[in-house]
Amino acid sequence: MQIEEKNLRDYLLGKASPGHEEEISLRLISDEDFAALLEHAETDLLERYLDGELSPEEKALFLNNFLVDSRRRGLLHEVQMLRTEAGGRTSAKAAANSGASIRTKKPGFFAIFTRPAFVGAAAVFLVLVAGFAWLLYFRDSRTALEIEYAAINKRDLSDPARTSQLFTVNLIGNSNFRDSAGTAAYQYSAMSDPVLFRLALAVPETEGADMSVSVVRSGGSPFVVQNARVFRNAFGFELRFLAPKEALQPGRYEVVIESKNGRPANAPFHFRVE
Amino acid sequence: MKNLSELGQTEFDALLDLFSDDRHEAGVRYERLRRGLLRYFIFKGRPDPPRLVDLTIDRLAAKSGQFDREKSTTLEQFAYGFARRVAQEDGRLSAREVPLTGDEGQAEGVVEAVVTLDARCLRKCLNELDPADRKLLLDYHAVGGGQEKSFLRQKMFEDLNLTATAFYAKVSRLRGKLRNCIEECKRFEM
Repeated sequence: MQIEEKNLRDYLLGKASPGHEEEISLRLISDEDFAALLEHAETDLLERYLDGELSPEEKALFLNNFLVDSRRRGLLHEVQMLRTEAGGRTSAKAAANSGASIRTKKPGFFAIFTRPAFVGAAAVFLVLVAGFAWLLYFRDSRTALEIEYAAINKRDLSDPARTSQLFTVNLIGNSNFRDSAGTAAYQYSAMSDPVLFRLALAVPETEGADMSVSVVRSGGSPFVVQNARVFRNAFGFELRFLAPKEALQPGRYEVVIESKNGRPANAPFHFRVE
Repeated sequence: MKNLSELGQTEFDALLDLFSDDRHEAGVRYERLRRGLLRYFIFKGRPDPPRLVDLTIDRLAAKSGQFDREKSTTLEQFAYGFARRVAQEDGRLSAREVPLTGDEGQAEGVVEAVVTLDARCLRKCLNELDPADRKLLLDYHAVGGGQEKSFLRQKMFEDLNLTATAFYAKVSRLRGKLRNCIEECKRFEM
C-alpha cells in the first residue's frame, strides 16, 4: 500500500488525519521496512525546514512536535554541517528560522585569542564548552536500529529457555576466523532474527555489567550495542547480546568490546558470514 | 501498575497466548510486536521509548482477556490502541515539565566551539570515504531546495542507475558511516 510523502510529513509533524495517523502507525508497528521510509521523510522534513519551505503553521509544529528529541536535533546538526561543507545554499533566512541552528562565525569570540592575557583562559573555556556542546548535540547519534536493539538488549538473557530458539554465534577472542564450535563461518540463511551473540571473555569482568560492543563488517559501518551484558559461565565470564540479522550480511566481521574509558579491553573476535 | 519486568509467569503466559497457541511462534510474534512498538514511540519522538513499550505491553497483558482472535481486529491494532493512549499520556506529562529551549541560554562560545570541532572531524571523515561516496554525499547536500532539488536528485539516482529507494538508502547508509566516524573522531579529540 502506497502512502504519500505529504501524509508521512504530516504524521511526523503531528497533524495527520485520524485515518492516516492510524494507518501509518500500524504500518510502523507491523512492517519492519517501513521505518526506512519514515527515516527518509524525517530527513526531507529537516531539509524543508532549512530551506524555509515550511508554512508558518508547519514551522510551529516542526519546533513543538518534531524537533523534540536529541536524535532529531543531532540529525539537523548533521545536515547543516554537510550543507556547509558542500557549499550548499541554505538561505540566511532559513538559518535564522532555525531555533536549534548553528550560527555562522562570530569574530568577537575568537578575537579573545589575539590577546595574550586571555589565551590560557580561552583555551580552557573552549574545551569545556566543546564538551558541553558535544553532549548537547551528539549524545545520541545511534541509528534507529541501534536504539531499537539497545532496548531489546535490556531484557534478561540469562534464561536459556527464552533464547534456545535463537541462532547463536559463539566466539572466543583472537580465534583467527574460527569460533568455539570449530566452525569457520556462519550461514546467513540459517540465522534467526535476532541473532544471539555469546563472547567468551579472556579478561574477567563484573557479572551483570553492561559493555559497549561494535560488530564491524569489513569495509562497512559498525553496528553498536551499548549494553551487552556480562554473565558468569562454567569457564569464566561471557558477554551476551542480541543483534539484528540485517546487520550480519555476508562478509568478514570483527567484534570489538570497549571498556568504559572507550579503549578496547578484551581481544577482538572474528567470524565470517556466508 | 506493574511494570513488564514484574509480570508473573502466569500473566506472561496469558500474554503469549494472545499471539499463538504454539509457544515458539508466540515468542517470535511477541518479539516482533515489541520491536514494532519501539519504532512507533521512536518516531513519535518520545524521550524514553523502551519504558513506553513496557507500559504498553503491561496494559496489553492486563487486558488480554478482552482480545478475541476470531474477530477481525488484529493483535497489532489491539496493541496500537494501548500504545496511542500511552503516547498521549506521556505527551501530556512532558508538556507539564519546563520545556528545553533551543540555544537561547547557551554561551556563544558553545556554538562556536562545536562548529570548530565538528567541522574538523567532518572533513577528516569525509576524506576517509571512498572518493565516489564522498562526491555523492556532497553533491546530495549541495543542491538547493524546491523543484531544483527534486530534479537534481532524480538526475543523481538515474545517473547511478539506482531506484529512488535504493538511492536514498545509500545516502542514509553513507551518513550513518560518516556519523560514526565523526563520533569516534571527537571522542579522541576531546
